[in-house]
Amino acid sequence: MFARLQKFRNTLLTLGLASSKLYFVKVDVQGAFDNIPQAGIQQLIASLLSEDHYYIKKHTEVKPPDTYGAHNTDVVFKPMRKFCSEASADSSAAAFTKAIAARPPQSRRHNTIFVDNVVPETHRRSFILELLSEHIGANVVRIGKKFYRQKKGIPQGSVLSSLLCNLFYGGFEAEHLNFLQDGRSLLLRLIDDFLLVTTNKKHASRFLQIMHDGNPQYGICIKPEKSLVNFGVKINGHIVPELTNGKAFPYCGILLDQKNLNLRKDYSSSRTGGEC
Amino acid sequence: MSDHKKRREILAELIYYILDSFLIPLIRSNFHVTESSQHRNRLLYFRHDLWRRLTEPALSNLKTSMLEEMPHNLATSKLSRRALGFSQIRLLPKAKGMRPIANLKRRAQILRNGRVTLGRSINSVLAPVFNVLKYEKVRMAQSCLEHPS
Repeated sequence: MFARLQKFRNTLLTLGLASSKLYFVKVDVQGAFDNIPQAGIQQLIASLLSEDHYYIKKHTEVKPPDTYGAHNTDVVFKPMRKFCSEASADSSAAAFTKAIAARPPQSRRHNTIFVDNVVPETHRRSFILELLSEHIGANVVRIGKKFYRQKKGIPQGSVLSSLLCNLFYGGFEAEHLNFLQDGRSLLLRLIDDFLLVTTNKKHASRFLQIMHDGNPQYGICIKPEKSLVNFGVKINGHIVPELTNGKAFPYCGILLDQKNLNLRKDYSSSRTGGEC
Repeated sequence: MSDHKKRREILAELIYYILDSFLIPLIRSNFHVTESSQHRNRLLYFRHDLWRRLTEPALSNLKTSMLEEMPHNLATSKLSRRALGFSQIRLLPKAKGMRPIANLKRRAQILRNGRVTLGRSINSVLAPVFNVLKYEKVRMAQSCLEHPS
């Protein structure tokens, strides 16, 4: 989030827009996981899987603890081990080394030994999709002694939930919110919490209108009382809650300065639980 | 073994007994203990009758809007044929109402060859799907960087 804000601020500086007013819009999707259409998300994932076979390789990353060398030498250090697994479309032994070397700088490891398990697990595309459809379409839940099937939405609390939600909303953004890719707007999203920062007031209003209208195809429906803007605006005849007198804008436990986009932690909301 | 060591061992066993077989069952039989999304590190104690009355509306709402009942034999036959098990839902109190939470890390106890063993958790069964999706996500992000539209 910090990196994206910093980049956005630099873009504004180079465009000479650093002193122009920034419009902030925050919206919150109601029960995001519970309202994602099961058929829609399964179609999306089927279209994303590009390979017929996937090879899943497990490996262990061994490294000294972060505090190594910081203390005097008579402390005994235990190496840290992390168990990872990664998918690949390449079954050859060299694929793993290549994948590690091709990692982006932020996920590179230093002082680390990689130990892989040589023989990868092989899964067919159809197996992956079948497992997914069992998980989404036939999630069985027990309450008391009775069994229930989840007929709406995607299961919560699974390793897949937030990834699925992100991919799905990514599709929504690409389809309906691409007007925001004008270099003068920044759209952030943490699962179901959207924040738009833009120099273009029309974009801000248009974004609000789209979000407040909702989208049944993507199961998107906004909680209007949870929206927040920093300019006076009416959507569908209702006034959107406004943050007046230029106070820092709250988003996901962080306060954003409305002028220079500086951020700091929001202690007031973390004390009261601060659901974001 | 030294006298001191034995004494310590006995004390440790006593503490274990008090917690495991006395205190926890005692609290459990009288209260439903839960965390909440309102307070970070606070435990809430509800009397069982009160908890049942509080959760009843949220549960019946869940059962009609999000879930549909499965006949017991259909559910068990379906579950026995697939790797994914079932999950149990618990309710967390919020400022207004309840938030359902399913624990998919939990490993169900299953009977295999007359012995009770731990099955695989839903999340561990789903691991390959997760890895594949992550792989496709990284690939998409890379192709976006290489060929910006």
